[in-house]
Amino acid sequence: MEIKEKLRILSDAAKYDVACTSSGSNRKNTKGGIGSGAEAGICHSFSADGRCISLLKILFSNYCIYDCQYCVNRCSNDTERASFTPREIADLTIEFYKRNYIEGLFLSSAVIKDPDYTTEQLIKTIEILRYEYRFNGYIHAKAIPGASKDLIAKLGLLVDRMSVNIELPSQKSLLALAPQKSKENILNPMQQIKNGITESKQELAVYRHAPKFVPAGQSTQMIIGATGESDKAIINLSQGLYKKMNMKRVFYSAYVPVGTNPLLPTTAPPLLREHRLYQADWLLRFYGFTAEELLSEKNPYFSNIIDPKCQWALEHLELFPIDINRAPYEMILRVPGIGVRNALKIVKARRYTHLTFDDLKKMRVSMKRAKYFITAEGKSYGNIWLRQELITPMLLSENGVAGFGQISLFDDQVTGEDRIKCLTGEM
Amino acid sequence: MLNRRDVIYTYDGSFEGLMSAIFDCYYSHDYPYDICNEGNMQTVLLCDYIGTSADREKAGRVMNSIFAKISSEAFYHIYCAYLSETKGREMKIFDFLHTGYKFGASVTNRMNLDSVWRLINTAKTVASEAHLYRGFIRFKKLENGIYYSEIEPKGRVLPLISHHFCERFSSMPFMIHDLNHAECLVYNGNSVEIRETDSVPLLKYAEDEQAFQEMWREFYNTITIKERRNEKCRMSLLPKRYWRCMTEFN
Repeated sequence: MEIKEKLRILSDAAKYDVACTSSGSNRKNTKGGIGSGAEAGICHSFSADGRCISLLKILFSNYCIYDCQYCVNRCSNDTERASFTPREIADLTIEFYKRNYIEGLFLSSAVIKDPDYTTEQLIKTIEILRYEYRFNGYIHAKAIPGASKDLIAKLGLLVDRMSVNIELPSQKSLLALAPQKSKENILNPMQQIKNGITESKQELAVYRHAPKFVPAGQSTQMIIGATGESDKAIINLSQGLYKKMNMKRVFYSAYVPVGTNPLLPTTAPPLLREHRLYQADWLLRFYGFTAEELLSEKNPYFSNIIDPKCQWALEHLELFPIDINRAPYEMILRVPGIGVRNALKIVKARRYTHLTFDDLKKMRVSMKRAKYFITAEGKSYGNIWLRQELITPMLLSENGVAGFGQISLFDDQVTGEDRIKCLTGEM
Repeated sequence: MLNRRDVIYTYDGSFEGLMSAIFDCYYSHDYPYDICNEGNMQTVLLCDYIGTSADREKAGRVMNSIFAKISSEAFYHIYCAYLSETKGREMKIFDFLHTGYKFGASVTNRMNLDSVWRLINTAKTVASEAHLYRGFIRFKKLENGIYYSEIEPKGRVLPLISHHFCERFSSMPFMIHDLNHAECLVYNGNSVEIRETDSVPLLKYAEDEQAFQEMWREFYNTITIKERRNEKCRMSLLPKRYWRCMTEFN
């Protein structure tokens, strides 16, 4: 089979993997080598679905022995199959990299023969890149659940980031849809990678040249909307993963109907739900929120019409408005419409002067949502009267979501869903 | 104290020239009405013109004073703003420096001051364009083994991206041709320089070049999940003005 044909089949099979980040590694180029890591990550292109393309995302092979119902590569599915050789992938990566198409390689694979054999093939590929081509660019590899500890340790020393997919948000769903994968098979390598990273960091503190184990940290992904878990369960799980497994990222992937199992939905991917989960995920990682604050037993789903941060603020109006000149940084971060950058700008600038609303505008702080929740120098913005039943419709009308006519807050079926998606950008 | 006067300083368009002009302003205690590039100047009634020439020593003294009295971060902003090629950037730089000498290193935190946010926002447009070009540049392999790429940026991003590419491709000769500003970054495997160009050279691509371009287009098209198509999102993250020079859209 021609290499172009293989590339088509195996990138098509890999496209449902979400992770395409290249951040977190600052690997330097070596003499005579090629490539380097960029700490902040670099997006090299964006595909027609608006997702960033930063790595050459391919499977080593899609001949799978497993039969996971949600996956296109399940062995019972009638689809084109192909396998690369380690040399082919290494050559392709280098040629693409030299033309600046990509930031590095994302290498995953279906399980061929058994997990150990598959991992060995991945290692062989990456060894050619690292030792023969002296490639110092970004490499993200999948740890195959069930692979032996030695192989995972070996792989970890070669790559920048590793990930083990948690696949579905609960053990029950996993049992129903992917009976060959067990919770232990997924969590054990995750734990091992976490321990490896911790050890490596300690060694690096003592010996500057100690080998780096997965320097850009590990990530994972789960499928949203294929099974019945609530947003609360998912966000709780993510919080656990961030805390206990020291995850760098948890990715959510709205389920695109590829399976035929009667347990699986056949509707369009729940993109808005996925987007709300990402928003909540950011709140967990950068804004100091906890999962318990965002959703409660009574209300286990995020709203379709407002974002999680607004939702939280409206439920806690007793804390607002806050004075932009006095409130602590943590509280400014919790104002809807003010992000990490703007909060830092405010905290830095207010050391020298009393900020007014005009100052905030000059600093390019968006007032669209923030104006309902802050005061400056004892005044509210344009004398807005703070009352929940007024704020919500006002927020919505400015977002252009509700449009003309009567706004119904209790209607979950928002017709403007597509418009929200366009507004929000990154998925 | 600087005296506000209806006087316009002119300089030769180089960064060194601009720094020398600023030196002359301070030396003669002038807060000028404007600082203009000699090349594209319009005469204003009732204004005196003072010509300045680029002087390495004067420019060096101004730059050293920025590092010593303000901060290296401020210098970076000033340099980026200079590269932005926007109208009125010279006076933005002058205003910023004037504020900077007054407040010292803290000036970059005082985003509420007009002179500060105007300069930093101008600088950011160039810095972020340069960041995007780190990803969006596409090299094509020529017959003689040199990797060649064309770009059409708004600001002059070449000095800002040169280090990134020279480190990454340290043993690979490459050229980045800025068509809008007729400049070309040339790296030969050892040293790097930015040359002025007047025309697009006749290019002969390597034999296997076409095959890799096709593979990349194939990859680019297959990686899209059809069910999630979102043109608007792509357009905001990858604006159309970049498309002309990118392999996947040709």
